[in-house]
Amino acid sequence: MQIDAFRSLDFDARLEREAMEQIADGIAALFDIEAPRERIGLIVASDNAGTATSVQFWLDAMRIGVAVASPELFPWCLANAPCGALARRFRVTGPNATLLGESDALLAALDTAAGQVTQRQVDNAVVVALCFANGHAGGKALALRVCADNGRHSLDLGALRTLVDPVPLRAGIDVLCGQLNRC
Amino acid sequence: MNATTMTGDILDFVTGELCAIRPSLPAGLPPTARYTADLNFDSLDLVELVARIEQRYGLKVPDADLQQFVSLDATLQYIVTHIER
Amino acid sequence: MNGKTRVVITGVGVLTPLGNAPEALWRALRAGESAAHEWPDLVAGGYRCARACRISAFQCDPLRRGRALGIAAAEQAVRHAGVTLPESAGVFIGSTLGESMAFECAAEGEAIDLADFRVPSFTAGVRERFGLTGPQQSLATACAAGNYAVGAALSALRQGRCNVALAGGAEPFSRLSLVGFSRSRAMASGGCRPFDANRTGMLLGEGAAMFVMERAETALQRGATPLAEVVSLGLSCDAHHPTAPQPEGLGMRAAMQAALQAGGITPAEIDWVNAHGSGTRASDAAEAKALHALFGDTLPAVSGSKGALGHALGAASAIELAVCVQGLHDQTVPPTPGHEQPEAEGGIACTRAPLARRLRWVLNNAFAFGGVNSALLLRAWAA
Repeated sequence: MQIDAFRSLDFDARLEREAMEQIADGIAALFDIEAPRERIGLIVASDNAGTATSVQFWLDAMRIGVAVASPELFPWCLANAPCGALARRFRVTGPNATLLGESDALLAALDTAAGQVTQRQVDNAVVVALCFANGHAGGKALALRVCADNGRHSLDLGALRTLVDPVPLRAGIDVLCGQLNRC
Repeated sequence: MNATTMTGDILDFVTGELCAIRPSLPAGLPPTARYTADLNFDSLDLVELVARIEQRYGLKVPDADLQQFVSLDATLQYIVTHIER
Repeated sequence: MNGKTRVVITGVGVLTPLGNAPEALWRALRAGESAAHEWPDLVAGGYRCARACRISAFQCDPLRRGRALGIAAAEQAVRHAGVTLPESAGVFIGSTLGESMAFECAAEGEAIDLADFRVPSFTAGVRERFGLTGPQQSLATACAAGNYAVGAALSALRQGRCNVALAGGAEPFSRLSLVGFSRSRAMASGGCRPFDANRTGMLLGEGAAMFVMERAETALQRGATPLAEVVSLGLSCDAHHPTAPQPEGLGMRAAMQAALQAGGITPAEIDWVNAHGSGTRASDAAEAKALHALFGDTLPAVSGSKGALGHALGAASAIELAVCVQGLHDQTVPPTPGHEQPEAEGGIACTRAPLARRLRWVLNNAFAFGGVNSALLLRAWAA
């Protein structure tokens, strides 16, 4: 598969809503393309999207009372909220998906993106791997833009699969970054 | 506490929460400020504001009453009316 | 193998508030029943909305309810299909929060490693139950997750990644979601009334539906009877708002259009739309606009089952796909409980009684929080 741009970053915000502001700023360049927005696909692969906010939301609800709890955080309890936020920020209206898991989810996201591009459902697809901060480690993100041809980097998904499946997503991100930086 | 003080306290509280929900709002919002037309509040902002009002004043605002929360003025009116009840 | 490879459903399993088998669910839906009622535990818990659709007779570890529902539905589907699953079978499951109870207990201070309770735990559970090592995906696309899972299985089968797939959605009842939707002011004040002029919102449900999917050629070779053909999945994103849909239904229309285009058919050929029909003012209004804009004068029969089953979030579109399969078998569109009077302007007149008619092409709509739109195109099996 062909990759024509990628960005990686670490971030420290604890909750998904704040983290996405940092992440979106860090990967904005990948969306700076002249392309019809409905022809850009967006897929997030994450190990824990939604977890931190879900716990916080319920904690607050228990404290305040379920009848008068604040709804503000609720949309961010859903694992697909980060992908929706990116779509809004960059006005991307093509196919939008969120896969949960470890490196298997990242591989599946890349595979899906490649398929969407090959089958001309989209012209480009951006895959974003997200590991939100979890109390033991900070947040980590890697975004790649998949294109039809003439990419700067070429990824062999089969070879990648043997390297990263079944490692945790954090480790998978590191391996993939290493591969891309060597291209 | 007299009525003027209470209304002033409520105005301060609601204004404070509006700015907490939308940090980009300017200070010194006029009481006539309309949430949607003037402040660009959306549905999510509004339900969050009402939730904070419920928490602060011990109210339970029914879904049907949400449509009354159109401006700072109208919000003050609602709170004062329902506290008195 | 190519994009035109025909993929079929050969087995269906469901766990729902109106029945734990496809036939029982269908009978209840045909009769216009609704599972919605007030629950004493929710009243006692102080929830503003205590009306919901829940499965009473399903015992399991409360922390593993989602996984248990998924496994039970998968077992049913496999029995129904009469298939011996190869180890290489794929598993594709959609859900919203995963094991919501685990998140709630963790927040309340219990020592729980939530890594074991997210959506992938459902997929892992089904794989472990059947000893499967084939392709897998855990789709977390909320209210559209079931459609996404079936779509992922469709792709995997067409690409030859597996010969058999288990796909569907599972969602345990979630107090967290109950509070979230209630406080977002999305819940109905009475029943859920899809596309009704007096609708007031949604009700929460739960359940699971799983499907055995195979390439048609393979299914026929082993003597299986295809129940329906899965043709295409159309997707789009509103990119509009965290919760409210794009009000003109542009994204919803785009998803339906994409499904039709990929399936190579025109809107006029659709016989039935199983609408998303969540019962909220905003979502139904947007979906009505999308349906009118897409179909114009050729609007087909429209039904919705959330007035009967509530909104089972990640399982909803999978359960409703099972309804579509039953409807194709019966050549009948089910009624739409809760729908009595469409909007006078631009409304959608849903079915109010079982409607017998020739059904060949069906669209199953599912539009998720955050503007994630899906439409699954299904065809009655014809060799």
